[in-house]
Amino acid sequence: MDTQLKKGVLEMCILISLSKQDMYGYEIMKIIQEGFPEVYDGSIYTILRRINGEGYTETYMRDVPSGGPARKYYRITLLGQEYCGKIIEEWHRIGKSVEKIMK
Amino acid sequence: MNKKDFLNELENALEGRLSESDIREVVSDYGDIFDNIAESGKEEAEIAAEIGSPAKIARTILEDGIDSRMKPEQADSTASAASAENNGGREYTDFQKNINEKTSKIFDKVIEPDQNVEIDQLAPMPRRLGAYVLDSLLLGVLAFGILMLFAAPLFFVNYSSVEVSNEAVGHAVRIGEDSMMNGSRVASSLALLPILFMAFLFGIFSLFTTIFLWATNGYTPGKWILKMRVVKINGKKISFLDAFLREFVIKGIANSVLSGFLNIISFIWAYVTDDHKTAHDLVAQTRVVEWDKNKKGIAG
Repeated sequence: MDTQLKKGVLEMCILISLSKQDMYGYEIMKIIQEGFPEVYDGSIYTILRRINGEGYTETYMRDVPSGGPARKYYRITLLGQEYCGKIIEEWHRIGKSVEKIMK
Repeated sequence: MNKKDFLNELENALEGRLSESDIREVVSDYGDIFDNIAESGKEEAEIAAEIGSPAKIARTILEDGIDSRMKPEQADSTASAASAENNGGREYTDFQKNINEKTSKIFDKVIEPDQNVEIDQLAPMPRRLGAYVLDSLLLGVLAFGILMLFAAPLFFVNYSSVEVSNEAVGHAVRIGEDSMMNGSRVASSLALLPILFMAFLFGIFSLFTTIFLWATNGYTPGKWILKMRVVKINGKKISFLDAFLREFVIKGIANSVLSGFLNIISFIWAYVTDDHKTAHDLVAQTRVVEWDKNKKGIAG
Protein backbone atom coordinates (compact mmCIF):
# COMPACT_ATOMS: atom_id res chain seq x y z
CA MET A 1 0.00 0.00 0.00
CA ASP A 2 1.12 3.53 -0.74
CA THR A 3 2.71 4.98 2.37
CA GLN A 4 0.91 8.31 2.32
CA LEU A 5 -2.45 6.61 1.91
CA LYS A 6 -1.57 4.10 4.61
CA LYS A 7 -0.58 6.86 7.02
CA GLY A 8 -3.88 8.63 6.45
CA VAL A 9 -5.93 5.49 6.93
CA LEU A 10 -4.03 4.48 10.08
CA GLU A 11 -4.43 7.98 11.49
CA MET A 12 -8.17 7.72 10.95
CA CYS A 13 -8.36 4.26 12.52
CA ILE A 14 -6.43 5.39 15.60
CA LEU A 15 -8.75 8.37 16.08
CA ILE A 16 -11.85 6.20 15.62
CA SER A 17 -10.59 3.69 18.18
CA LEU A 18 -9.81 6.47 20.64
CA SER A 19 -13.24 8.04 20.22
CA LYS A 20 -14.72 4.76 21.52
CA GLN A 21 -12.54 4.64 24.63
CA ASP A 22 -9.26 5.89 26.09
CA MET A 23 -6.33 3.55 25.51
CA TYR A 24 -2.63 3.23 26.28
CA GLY A 25 0.03 3.03 23.57
CA TYR A 26 0.52 -0.70 23.36
CA GLU A 27 -3.23 -1.31 23.36
CA ILE A 28 -3.65 0.97 20.35
CA MET A 29 -0.86 -0.85 18.52
CA LYS A 30 -2.54 -4.21 19.12
CA ILE A 31 -5.94 -2.98 17.94
CA ILE A 32 -4.53 -1.49 14.75
CA GLN A 33 -2.48 -4.61 14.05
CA GLU A 34 -5.57 -6.78 14.36
CA GLY A 35 -6.90 -5.01 11.30
CA PHE A 36 -3.56 -4.40 9.57
CA PRO A 37 -1.21 -7.22 10.60
CA GLU A 38 1.50 -6.10 8.18
CA VAL A 39 1.86 -2.66 9.75
CA TYR A 40 5.06 -2.07 11.67
CA ASP A 41 4.74 -1.12 15.40
CA GLY A 42 7.06 1.83 14.93
CA SER A 43 4.83 3.37 12.25
CA ILE A 44 1.78 3.21 14.51
CA TYR A 45 3.70 4.78 17.35
CA THR A 46 4.98 7.53 15.07
CA ILE A 47 1.48 8.40 13.86
CA LEU A 48 0.18 8.37 17.42
CA ARG A 49 2.98 10.71 18.46
CA ARG A 50 2.22 13.06 15.59
CA ILE A 51 -1.55 13.31 16.18
CA ASN A 52 -0.81 13.89 19.86
CA GLY A 53 1.62 16.65 18.88
CA GLU A 54 -1.03 18.26 16.71
CA GLY A 55 -3.44 18.35 19.62
CA TYR A 56 -5.92 15.77 18.38
CA THR A 57 -5.29 13.67 21.47
CA GLU A 58 -3.96 14.32 24.96
CA THR A 59 -2.35 12.03 27.50
CA TYR A 60 -2.82 11.38 31.19
CA MET A 61 -1.49 8.80 33.62
CA ARG A 62 -3.77 6.11 34.98
CA ASP A 63 -2.96 3.47 37.59
CA VAL A 64 -3.15 -0.17 36.65
CA PRO A 65 -5.75 -2.07 38.76
CA SER A 66 -3.37 -5.01 39.22
CA GLY A 67 -0.64 -2.71 40.53
CA GLY A 68 2.57 -1.97 38.65
CA PRO A 69 3.63 1.37 37.14
CA ALA A 70 0.96 3.83 35.96
CA ARG A 71 0.19 3.79 32.24
CA LYS A 72 0.13 6.70 29.85
CA TYR A 73 -3.36 6.84 28.38
CA TYR A 74 -4.42 8.68 25.24
CA ARG A 75 -7.74 10.53 25.12
CA ILE A 76 -9.24 12.20 22.03
CA THR A 77 -9.72 15.98 22.32
CA LEU A 78 -12.55 18.09 20.94
CA LEU A 79 -10.25 19.20 18.13
CA GLY A 80 -9.49 15.53 17.45
CA GLN A 81 -13.18 14.64 17.27
CA GLU A 82 -13.83 17.42 14.78
CA TYR A 83 -10.84 16.36 12.69
CA CYS A 84 -11.88 12.71 12.88
CA GLY A 85 -15.40 13.56 11.66
CA LYS A 86 -13.89 15.49 8.78
CA ILE A 87 -11.63 12.66 7.61
CA ILE A 88 -14.39 10.04 7.94
CA GLU A 89 -16.54 12.20 5.68
CA GLU A 90 -13.62 12.49 3.27
CA TRP A 91 -13.14 8.73 3.41
CA HIS A 92 -16.76 8.08 2.40
CA ARG A 93 -16.51 10.63 -0.39
CA ILE A 94 -13.39 8.93 -1.77
CA GLY A 95 -15.05 5.52 -1.45
CA LYS A 96 -18.03 6.70 -3.50
CA SER A 97 -15.79 8.16 -6.19
CA VAL A 98 -13.84 4.93 -6.43
CA GLU A 99 -17.03 2.86 -6.66
CA LYS A 100 -18.35 5.10 -9.41
CA ILE A 101 -15.20 4.57 -11.45
CA MET A 102 -15.14 0.82 -10.82
CA LYS A 103 -18.66 0.31 -12.19
CA MET B 1 19.33 -7.20 23.66
CA ASN B 2 17.71 -6.34 27.00
CA LYS B 3 15.48 -3.38 27.81
CA LYS B 4 18.29 -1.15 28.99
CA ASP B 5 20.39 -1.72 25.86
CA PHE B 6 17.35 -1.25 23.67
CA LEU B 7 16.40 2.09 25.21
CA ASN B 8 20.03 3.25 25.21
CA GLU B 9 20.36 2.46 21.55
CA LEU B 10 17.11 4.25 20.77
CA GLU B 11 18.28 7.29 22.69
CA ASN B 12 21.62 7.33 20.86
CA ALA B 13 19.92 7.01 17.49
CA LEU B 14 17.78 10.09 18.20
CA GLU B 15 20.53 12.10 19.94
CA GLY B 16 20.92 15.55 18.43
CA ARG B 17 18.13 15.00 15.92
CA LEU B 18 15.17 15.65 18.17
CA SER B 19 14.87 17.96 21.16
CA GLU B 20 15.82 16.46 24.51
CA SER B 21 12.26 16.50 25.80
CA ASP B 22 11.07 14.66 22.67
CA ILE B 23 13.78 12.04 23.08
CA ARG B 24 12.87 11.58 26.73
CA GLU B 25 9.23 11.14 25.73
CA VAL B 26 9.96 8.56 23.03
CA VAL B 27 12.30 6.59 25.29
CA SER B 28 9.78 6.58 28.13
CA ASP B 29 6.98 5.51 25.74
CA TYR B 30 9.06 2.63 24.46
CA GLY B 31 9.92 1.71 28.05
CA ASP B 32 6.15 1.47 28.64
CA ILE B 33 5.61 -0.63 25.53
CA PHE B 34 8.36 -2.92 26.76
CA ASP B 35 6.64 -3.29 30.14
CA ASN B 36 3.25 -3.86 28.52
CA ILE B 37 4.53 -6.72 26.39
CA ALA B 38 6.45 -8.08 29.38
CA GLU B 39 3.13 -8.63 31.17
CA SER B 40 2.51 -11.53 28.81
CA GLY B 41 5.57 -13.17 30.33
CA LYS B 42 8.02 -12.76 27.47
CA GLU B 43 11.79 -12.45 27.85
CA GLU B 44 13.33 -9.00 27.31
CA ALA B 45 15.37 -10.20 24.34
CA GLU B 46 12.25 -11.66 22.77
CA ILE B 47 10.39 -8.37 23.20
CA ALA B 48 13.25 -6.40 21.67
CA ALA B 49 13.15 -8.69 18.65
CA GLU B 50 9.39 -8.24 18.36
CA ILE B 51 9.51 -4.45 18.50
CA GLY B 52 12.29 -4.27 15.92
CA SER B 53 15.62 -2.50 15.80
CA PRO B 54 15.93 0.83 17.65
CA ALA B 55 17.65 2.28 14.57
CA LYS B 56 14.60 1.53 12.45
CA ILE B 57 12.23 3.03 15.02
CA ALA B 58 14.37 6.16 15.18
CA ARG B 59 14.37 6.39 11.40
CA THR B 60 10.59 6.04 11.21
CA ILE B 61 10.15 8.80 13.76
CA LEU B 62 12.63 11.13 12.05
CA GLU B 63 11.15 10.48 8.62
CA ASP B 64 7.73 11.42 9.91
CA GLY B 65 9.20 14.69 11.09
CA ILE B 66 10.36 15.38 7.54
CA ASP B 67 6.93 14.56 6.11
CA SER B 68 5.05 16.94 8.33
CA ARG B 69 7.59 19.65 7.57
CA MET B 70 6.77 19.29 3.89
CA LYS B 71 3.08 20.02 4.45
CA PRO B 72 2.31 23.39 2.83
CA GLU B 73 0.20 24.69 5.74
CA GLN B 74 3.19 24.34 8.03
CA ALA B 75 5.63 26.10 5.73
CA ASP B 76 5.91 29.14 7.98
CA SER B 77 8.40 30.34 10.54
CA THR B 78 7.72 27.41 12.87
CA ALA B 79 8.72 24.99 10.12
CA SER B 80 12.15 26.52 9.69
CA ALA B 81 12.61 26.49 13.45
CA ALA B 82 11.60 22.83 13.50
CA SER B 83 14.00 21.95 10.72
CA ALA B 84 16.90 23.64 12.47
CA GLU B 85 16.02 21.62 15.54
CA ASN B 86 15.89 18.39 13.54
CA ASN B 87 19.34 19.02 12.14
CA GLY B 88 20.71 19.30 15.64
CA GLY B 89 20.69 23.10 15.55
CA ARG B 90 22.91 23.25 12.46
CA GLU B 91 22.21 25.47 9.47
CA TYR B 92 23.02 23.98 6.07
CA THR B 93 23.54 25.76 2.78
CA ASP B 94 21.42 24.64 -0.19
CA PHE B 95 24.43 22.88 -1.67
CA GLN B 96 25.02 20.95 1.54
CA LYS B 97 21.34 20.10 1.80
CA ASN B 98 21.43 18.78 -1.73
CA ILE B 99 24.48 16.63 -1.01
CA ASN B 100 23.00 15.43 2.28
CA GLU B 101 19.79 14.44 0.57
CA LYS B 102 21.58 12.53 -2.18
CA THR B 103 23.93 10.68 0.15
CA SER B 104 21.12 9.82 2.52
CA LYS B 105 19.18 8.37 -0.41
CA ILE B 106 22.11 6.11 -1.33
CA PHE B 107 22.59 5.29 2.33
CA ASP B 108 18.91 4.41 2.68
CA LYS B 109 19.19 2.09 -0.28
CA VAL B 110 22.01 0.21 1.43
CA ILE B 111 20.56 0.33 4.95
CA GLU B 112 16.80 0.33 4.63
CA PRO B 113 14.73 -2.80 4.20
CA ASP B 114 13.06 -2.92 0.83
CA GLN B 115 9.32 -2.31 0.92
CA ASN B 116 8.46 -4.98 -1.64
CA VAL B 117 9.88 -7.90 0.33
CA GLU B 118 8.69 -8.30 3.92
CA ILE B 119 11.41 -8.84 6.51
CA ASP B 120 9.82 -12.05 7.80
CA GLN B 121 10.00 -13.61 4.35
CA LEU B 122 13.77 -13.23 4.15
CA ALA B 123 15.89 -16.33 4.53
CA PRO B 124 18.15 -16.31 7.61
CA MET B 125 21.84 -15.81 6.86
CA PRO B 126 23.16 -19.07 8.43
CA ARG B 127 20.91 -20.98 6.07
CA ARG B 128 22.23 -19.02 3.12
CA LEU B 129 25.75 -19.89 4.20
CA GLY B 130 24.61 -23.52 4.34
CA ALA B 131 23.32 -23.33 0.78
CA TYR B 132 26.63 -21.85 -0.33
CA VAL B 133 28.54 -24.71 1.28
CA LEU B 134 26.20 -27.27 -0.33
CA ASP B 135 26.60 -25.63 -3.73
CA SER B 136 30.35 -25.55 -3.31
CA LEU B 137 30.33 -29.26 -2.59
CA LEU B 138 27.91 -30.31 -5.34
CA LEU B 139 28.74 -27.91 -8.15
CA GLY B 140 32.34 -27.44 -7.05
CA VAL B 141 33.03 -31.16 -7.41
CA LEU B 142 31.30 -31.16 -10.80
CA ALA B 143 33.33 -28.14 -11.94
CA PHE B 144 36.49 -29.80 -10.66
CA GLY B 145 35.72 -32.97 -12.61
CA ILE B 146 35.07 -31.13 -15.85
CA LEU B 147 38.17 -29.04 -15.42
CA MET B 148 40.31 -32.12 -14.77
CA LEU B 149 39.02 -33.66 -17.97
CA PHE B 150 40.33 -30.71 -19.95
CA ALA B 151 43.34 -29.98 -17.82
CA ALA B 152 44.80 -33.48 -17.69
CA PRO B 153 46.36 -33.39 -21.18
CA LEU B 154 47.67 -29.92 -20.38
CA PHE B 155 49.56 -31.29 -17.42
CA PHE B 156 51.27 -33.83 -19.65
CA VAL B 157 52.34 -31.20 -22.12
CA ASN B 158 53.74 -28.98 -19.43
CA TYR B 159 55.38 -31.79 -17.60
CA SER B 160 57.28 -32.97 -20.68
CA SER B 161 58.24 -29.43 -21.55
CA VAL B 162 59.64 -29.06 -18.05
CA GLU B 163 61.76 -32.14 -18.61
CA VAL B 164 62.98 -30.68 -21.84
CA SER B 165 63.73 -27.38 -20.23
CA ASN B 166 65.55 -29.07 -17.36
CA GLU B 167 67.77 -30.72 -19.87
CA ALA B 168 68.17 -27.36 -21.48
CA VAL B 169 69.14 -25.90 -18.13
CA GLY B 170 71.68 -28.61 -17.62
CA HIS B 171 72.99 -27.87 -21.06
CA ALA B 172 72.92 -24.16 -20.44
CA VAL B 173 75.11 -24.44 -17.39
CA ARG B 174 77.77 -25.76 -19.69
CA ILE B 175 77.12 -23.32 -22.51
CA GLY B 176 76.31 -20.01 -20.90
CA GLU B 177 73.91 -17.86 -18.94
CA ASP B 178 71.52 -16.99 -21.78
CA SER B 179 69.70 -20.32 -21.72
CA MET B 180 69.37 -20.16 -17.92
CA MET B 181 66.88 -17.36 -18.43
CA ASN B 182 64.78 -19.66 -20.59
CA GLY B 183 64.66 -22.30 -17.89
CA SER B 184 63.46 -19.92 -15.19
CA ARG B 185 60.80 -18.50 -17.49
CA VAL B 186 59.32 -21.97 -17.95
CA ALA B 187 59.45 -22.53 -14.21
CA SER B 188 57.56 -19.30 -13.46
CA SER B 189 54.85 -20.11 -15.99
CA LEU B 190 54.53 -23.44 -14.23
CA ALA B 191 53.96 -21.67 -10.91
CA LEU B 192 51.07 -19.79 -12.51
CA LEU B 193 49.30 -23.01 -13.32
CA PRO B 194 47.60 -23.63 -9.93
CA ILE B 195 46.35 -20.03 -9.93
CA LEU B 196 45.00 -20.47 -13.42
CA PHE B 197 43.43 -23.74 -12.35
CA MET B 198 41.68 -22.10 -9.39
CA ALA B 199 40.49 -19.23 -11.55
CA PHE B 200 38.96 -21.66 -14.02
CA LEU B 201 37.43 -23.67 -11.18
CA PHE B 202 35.73 -20.61 -9.69
CA GLY B 203 34.77 -19.43 -13.15
CA ILE B 204 33.03 -22.67 -14.04
CA PHE B 205 31.41 -22.82 -10.59
CA SER B 206 30.05 -19.27 -10.93
CA LEU B 207 28.82 -20.03 -14.42
CA PHE B 208 26.97 -23.07 -13.09
CA THR B 209 25.18 -21.10 -10.37
CA THR B 210 24.42 -18.36 -12.92
CA ILE B 211 22.76 -20.83 -15.25
CA PHE B 212 20.87 -22.54 -12.43
CA LEU B 213 19.60 -19.25 -11.07
CA TRP B 214 18.46 -18.05 -14.46
CA ALA B 215 16.98 -21.31 -15.78
CA THR B 216 15.01 -22.13 -12.60
CA ASN B 217 14.15 -18.51 -11.81
CA GLY B 218 15.81 -18.38 -8.42
CA TYR B 219 17.15 -21.73 -7.31
CA THR B 220 20.55 -23.35 -7.02
CA PRO B 221 20.79 -26.96 -5.78
CA GLY B 222 21.86 -25.79 -2.31
CA LYS B 223 19.05 -23.24 -2.07
CA TRP B 224 16.53 -25.77 -3.31
CA ILE B 225 17.55 -28.32 -0.69
CA LEU B 226 17.32 -25.69 2.04
CA LYS B 227 13.98 -24.32 0.75
CA MET B 228 15.06 -20.86 -0.29
CA ARG B 229 15.00 -18.93 -3.51
CA VAL B 230 16.28 -15.72 -5.02
CA VAL B 231 13.69 -13.16 -6.12
CA LYS B 232 13.94 -9.81 -7.85
CA ILE B 233 12.66 -7.06 -5.59
CA ASN B 234 10.43 -5.77 -8.37
CA GLY B 235 8.75 -9.19 -8.58
CA LYS B 236 9.91 -9.89 -12.12
CA LYS B 237 11.63 -13.02 -13.42
CA ILE B 238 15.37 -13.22 -12.95
CA SER B 239 17.01 -12.40 -16.31
CA PHE B 240 20.26 -13.97 -17.43
CA LEU B 241 21.97 -10.62 -16.92
CA ASP B 242 20.70 -10.43 -13.31
CA ALA B 243 21.97 -13.92 -12.59
CA PHE B 244 25.28 -13.24 -14.36
CA LEU B 245 25.78 -9.99 -12.46
CA ARG B 246 24.96 -11.60 -9.13
CA GLU B 247 26.80 -14.89 -9.40
CA PHE B 248 29.61 -14.30 -11.90
CA VAL B 249 30.55 -10.62 -11.75
CA ILE B 250 30.13 -9.98 -8.02
CA LYS B 251 30.38 -13.32 -6.21
CA GLY B 252 32.90 -14.60 -8.78
CA ILE B 253 35.15 -11.95 -10.28
CA ALA B 254 34.85 -9.06 -7.79
CA ASN B 255 35.18 -11.43 -4.87
CA SER B 256 38.27 -13.08 -6.36
CA VAL B 257 39.87 -9.71 -7.05
CA LEU B 258 39.37 -8.88 -3.36
CA SER B 259 40.81 -12.28 -2.35
CA GLY B 260 37.50 -13.57 -1.02
CA PHE B 261 36.99 -10.72 1.42
CA LEU B 262 34.00 -9.30 -0.44
CA ASN B 263 31.82 -12.32 0.30
CA ILE B 264 33.00 -12.49 3.90
CA ILE B 265 32.28 -8.80 4.59
CA SER B 266 29.05 -9.07 2.65
CA PHE B 267 27.94 -11.99 4.80
CA ILE B 268 28.78 -10.25 8.08
CA TRP B 269 27.02 -7.08 6.95
CA ALA B 270 23.93 -9.00 5.87
CA TYR B 271 23.97 -10.97 9.10
CA VAL B 272 23.86 -7.92 11.36
CA THR B 273 21.32 -5.89 9.35
CA ASP B 274 17.55 -6.46 9.27
CA ASP B 275 17.38 -6.66 5.55
CA HIS B 276 20.01 -9.38 4.98
CA LYS B 277 21.25 -7.53 1.91
CA THR B 278 24.60 -8.74 0.56
CA ALA B 279 26.72 -6.93 -2.04
CA HIS B 280 25.48 -9.23 -4.80
CA ASP B 281 21.85 -8.72 -3.67
CA LEU B 282 22.33 -4.99 -3.81
CA VAL B 283 23.88 -4.98 -7.28
CA ALA B 284 21.43 -7.42 -8.88
CA GLN B 285 18.47 -5.96 -6.91
CA THR B 286 17.55 -9.36 -5.50
CA ARG B 287 16.63 -10.84 -2.12
CA VAL B 288 16.78 -14.40 -0.85
CA VAL B 289 13.45 -15.53 0.63
CA GLU B 290 12.10 -18.67 2.20
CA TRP B 291 10.05 -20.20 -0.57
CA ASP B 292 6.94 -21.25 1.38
CA LYS B 293 6.66 -17.83 2.96
CA ASN B 294 7.12 -16.19 -0.41
CA LYS B 295 3.93 -17.74 -1.77
CA LYS B 296 1.73 -15.42 0.20
CA GLY B 297 4.09 -12.51 -0.47
CA ILE B 298 5.00 -10.80 -3.69
CA ALA B 299 3.74 -12.12 -6.98
CA GLY B 300 6.05 -14.02 -9.32
